[in-house]
Amino acid sequence: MHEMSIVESILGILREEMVKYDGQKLTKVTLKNGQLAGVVTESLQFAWEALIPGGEFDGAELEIIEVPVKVACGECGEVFSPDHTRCMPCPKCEALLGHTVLEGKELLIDSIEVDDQQ
Amino acid sequence: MSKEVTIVRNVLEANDRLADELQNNFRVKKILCLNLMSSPGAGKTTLLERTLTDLKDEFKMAVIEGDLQTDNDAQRVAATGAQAVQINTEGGCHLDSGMVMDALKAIDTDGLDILFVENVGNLVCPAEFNVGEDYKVTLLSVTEGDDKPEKYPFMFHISAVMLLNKTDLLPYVDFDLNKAEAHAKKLNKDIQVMPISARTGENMEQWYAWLRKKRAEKL
Ligand SMILES: [Zn+2]
Repeated sequence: MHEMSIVESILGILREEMVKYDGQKLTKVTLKNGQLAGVVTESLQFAWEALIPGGEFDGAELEIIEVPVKVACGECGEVFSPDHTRCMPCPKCEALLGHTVLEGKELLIDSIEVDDQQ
Repeated sequence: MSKEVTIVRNVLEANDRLADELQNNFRVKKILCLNLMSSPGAGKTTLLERTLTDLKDEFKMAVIEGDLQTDNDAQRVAATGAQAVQINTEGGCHLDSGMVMDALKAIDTDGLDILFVENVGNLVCPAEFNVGEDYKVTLLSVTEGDDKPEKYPFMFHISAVMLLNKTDLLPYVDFDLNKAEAHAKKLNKDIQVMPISARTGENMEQWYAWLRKKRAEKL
C-alpha cells in the first residue's frame, strides 16, 4: 500500500502552499484521483485519517473526487469513456489498441480551503 | 472567514522532479538505467546473476537492490563482481527516486555502462513511481498465472519488455505463453515479449541483444 507515502507527498505540497497563508488554518483539501492513477480512494482516506490528527493540519478534511477515464480511439479518434479500465473497445470502430488517455491518469491537489479566524 | 484557493499540483511532482534529475545525470554519463519489476519470487536476482556474469567482459554494471528482507540478494549479486547496493525500504512497497539518488552515492558511476534497479517484488506500486530509468522491464515467471498482465494492466502498459522466466518449468505448469503474450500486447502493442530461463540460460541471447542495442542508443 503506497497510499501512506502519497499522503506524505501531499503533506509536503501543503506545507509549501501554506507558507503563503501564514497564521491561517487549513480546513479542507480537494484531490482529484483519476481511475487509472492506481490509487485507492478508501486507502488514501484511511492514510489521511491516520496521519493527520495531532499534527499541523489537525482537523483538516480530505475530499477526493474520482475522475473517470476518457480516451481518444487510436484508430478513428472517437472520444469515449470505457466501461472497464482493462479492455476498452471503441464504441464506433471496435478498436482495442492505441487509445490516448485524455483523463483519468491524474493525481492532483485541486484546491485547498483556509480559515483566517484562528 | 474561510476561503477556497485553487492550487492544481501533481501529487507525485517531487518524485518526478528527482526522476528527471537522475535521468539527466544518466544521459550525461551515458548510463543505461533499467527499472526491473516483478512479483516476489519471479527470479529477478537469478536473472541479474546470470546477466552480470555473462556480460561481465562487455559492460561495467551495477545493481541497486530494493527487494529485501535480508541482504542475501545483494550478496548473490556482489558475488558476480558487479557493484551492488542495498536500499532499506523499511517495509515500503516500492522504490522512489530519492532512495535511488541516495543509493547512487555508494556506487562508482564513472565508466558505468548499465545500472539495474531491482525494485521491490510487487506488481502494483512500483509501476507508479519513476526512478530515473530509461526503461521499465517486467519479469513474469511461468509458475504464476498467464492472466497476470490482465490483472495488473498498468505495469504491462508502461513496460518496454516482458521477460517470461522459468521456461524450463513449462512442461510442469499450466501456463500459456501465447495467451500471456496476447494479453500483454493488448495492453501495450510495443511491448517486447521474451521467454527465457535465467536458471538454465535458455534464450538469454535475445535479452542480451536488447541490452546491447539499448546501451548503444545511449552513446
Ligand atoms: Zn474507434
